[in-house]
Amino acid sequence: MRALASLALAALLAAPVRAQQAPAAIDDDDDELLEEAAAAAASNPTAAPGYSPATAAAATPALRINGYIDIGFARAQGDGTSFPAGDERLPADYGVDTFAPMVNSRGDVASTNAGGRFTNGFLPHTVNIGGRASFLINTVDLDIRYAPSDWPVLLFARTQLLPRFNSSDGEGTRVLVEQAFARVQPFAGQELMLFAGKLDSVFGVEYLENEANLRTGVTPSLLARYTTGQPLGVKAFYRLQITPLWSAISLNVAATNGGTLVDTLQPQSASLTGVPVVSGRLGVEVNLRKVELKLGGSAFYGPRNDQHNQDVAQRGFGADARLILGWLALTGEWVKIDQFAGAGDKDNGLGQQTAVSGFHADGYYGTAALALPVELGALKKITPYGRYSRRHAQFEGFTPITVDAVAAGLRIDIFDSLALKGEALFNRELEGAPQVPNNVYTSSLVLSF
Amino acid sequence: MKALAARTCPLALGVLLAGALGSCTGSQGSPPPSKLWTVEDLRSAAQAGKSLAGIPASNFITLRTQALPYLSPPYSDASLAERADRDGLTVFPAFSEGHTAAYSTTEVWENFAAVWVQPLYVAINGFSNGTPQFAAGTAAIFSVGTRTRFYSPYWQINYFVLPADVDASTFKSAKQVLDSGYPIIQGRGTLCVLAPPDVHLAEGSGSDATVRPLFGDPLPINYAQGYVDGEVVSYIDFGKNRFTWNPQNNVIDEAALFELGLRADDGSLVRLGLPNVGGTGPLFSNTPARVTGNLPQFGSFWHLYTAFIPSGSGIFVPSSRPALKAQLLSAAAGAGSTVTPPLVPPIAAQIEARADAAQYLLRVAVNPGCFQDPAGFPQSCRWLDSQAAVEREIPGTLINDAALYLTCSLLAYNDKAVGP
Repeated sequence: MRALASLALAALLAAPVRAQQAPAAIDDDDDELLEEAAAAAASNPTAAPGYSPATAAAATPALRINGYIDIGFARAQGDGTSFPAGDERLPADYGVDTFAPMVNSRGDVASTNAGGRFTNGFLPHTVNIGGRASFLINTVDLDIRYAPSDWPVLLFARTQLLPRFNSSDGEGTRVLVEQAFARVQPFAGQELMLFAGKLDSVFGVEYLENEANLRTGVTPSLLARYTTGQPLGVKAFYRLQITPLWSAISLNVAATNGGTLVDTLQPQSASLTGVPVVSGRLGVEVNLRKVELKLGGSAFYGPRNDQHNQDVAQRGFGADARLILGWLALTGEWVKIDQFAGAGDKDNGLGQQTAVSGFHADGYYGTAALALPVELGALKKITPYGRYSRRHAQFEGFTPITVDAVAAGLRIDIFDSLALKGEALFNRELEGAPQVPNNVYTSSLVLSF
Repeated sequence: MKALAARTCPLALGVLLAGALGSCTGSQGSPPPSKLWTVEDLRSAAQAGKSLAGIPASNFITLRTQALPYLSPPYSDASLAERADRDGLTVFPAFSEGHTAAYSTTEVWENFAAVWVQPLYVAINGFSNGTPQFAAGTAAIFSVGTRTRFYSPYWQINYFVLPADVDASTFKSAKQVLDSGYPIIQGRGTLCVLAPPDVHLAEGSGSDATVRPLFGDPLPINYAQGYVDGEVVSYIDFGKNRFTWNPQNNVIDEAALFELGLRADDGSLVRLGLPNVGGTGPLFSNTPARVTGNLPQFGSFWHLYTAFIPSGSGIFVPSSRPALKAQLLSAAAGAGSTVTPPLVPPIAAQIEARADAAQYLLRVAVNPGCFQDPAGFPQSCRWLDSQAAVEREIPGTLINDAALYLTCSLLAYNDKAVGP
């Protein structure tokens, strides 16, 4: 009942505005679509080079500023963590899924408070609301892009403000440079793009929905932690259109500091080993009039960037598929990751830790979304959606755990600049991990500008 | 301008990409390994003839049918072999707080910042006069096994309280206990070493008992079985209240363990096989000994230090042990150490005749002239037989961190056996 009340309260916050843009290619020159280039990449998920704005047309100003604000309202069960009462095993984060009780598109969880027990750095960021219902400013996003008309170059910086409360430091706002890159498209008429800077991941497809205004639902999948980081390095994207077949083949490769894991698990701003992580995705797409099919295979390999020995490796493999049939969009992704054991110098986005434990995980998710166009004044689209994700993981010598999560929700697009989303996230501990009440009821009001 | 960009930008990006991929050199060096050797690992290493941190694994464990060190010459008159059906953890003679002691090493941690207490679950039906009433069929349920570097033989007992009509024998994993929702009451610490069932403390051929080297008194110990994640495991039970920990972070309190030796000509330590000296707390911490009865609450989790014996020191070896004396001198000379004679000085006949002379065997005095002072012996000797004495008599610069933590539960303390 409280969950329904939470969703209803969030719904009341909404005001009728425009709907989300229709699907379009990332390199579309239509001026109207420039603002929504990334949204286009997400809603028409071709093998896009990541969330990067399209090259400005000559008529558009060289310097543009965009962004969004994501306001949330969420409540998690229990104490907002996945730590069961009475579980004194150490490290506390090895025998449970600390990432499960997510409340927003960033994957932030309601709480990571382990009750003073020792953890070893397998934690997400947190909004520190515990098991209490709370309003949140999930993200204040500011995008600055500069695209001179006489150079095939684009400069892009995405800065985010993340206001958070925590009991030890009180109120604080973290400033995050989530992306900052230069992009060059050297050959006109060729879909070859070269990037340098802090970029989107190239692994899989879930990174396309990193931003709250792009994600259909509220929370990411249980596998997002491995594929949706924003690494720092260089990247190349190439796509070959096979026009007679209404098809295209794309290749996206990167050499970066931290690979594709999220920043708490692997720092991105510095290479701790001096050797980059190489990642890539090979994609095939078929774009018919009413059916779009996209398939991809991804991999990464390199030293773990949460320690300092270049011989301690990590690797990952993935496969993704997307099918768009009219209003219906289906997405599925499988991910497997292996991180090998190192010394006692674990050092990640949460600070210095202890042992570099071997870690292995695999899992998958599937989503279904039905985007129903509704032309009722400001109301543009209603999208019911659902996602099932399942993850199996084991730290070196620890009990392997299997968890799954079912997310069900509704997205309402009003005008072009406002989206209201409500979601119920049901987390289950299937094997290994003790049962814990950690379901989440969350909502998000995203205003884009 | 565009043409220029088309030529230069891809070149620049290409250089960047190539640079990133080609910059795989210039490493600052790998961090030192962070390793844990459990009993099973120690045995495997001994079987393979390997060393750990420069110490032969066979020092810690005697493989079946092999001669038991400290129970064979030169420490005893006759050779005694380990049982043919088991491997035996070496029982080391030691000194602590000015008295003889003994211990076995069951785990070795190299380059670890800390070791933590882990929960162990035991089913009870309640308490009677403060004593837990164990549920029928219950067994220890360990929360982690030995394949993680966060394994620890230091457990805090977590009693879970079952109704009398619930079968305790069905509980075999931490998940089962936590999922059951039965109340959990935290108890004391207990030292239980997970070990293969065919590894015990050293037991001589034809014997089921472990005895203390040099003295021969029995050292009682329990062997039992429990569960990890539903699987049966064997463990050696060293008993409750054998260690302490910081309740704020669950880190085990360490105590210093000193390995005494000579300084070789190249500055390295020459190991003589002397009994180690067990302390009561961290180095230079002046921690008082915590003892209940003859049960020390320290001396399970040691931080190993090497310490150079001061020049002019002497080792107490009665003339009745010529082979032992010869071995010491041989070890000292063979490793190129600088020996200030006499390393093993003569002992007055009246002192050798003392009933307690064996208590001082292999003890080091920094003023060995006291071995010729029957009237003042043993008080006139400045022995290196306690943490306080080592820290007082040996300059801090000659005490070096070996970067090893050891589980060396005291089996004897204050000249007597310690029982679980």
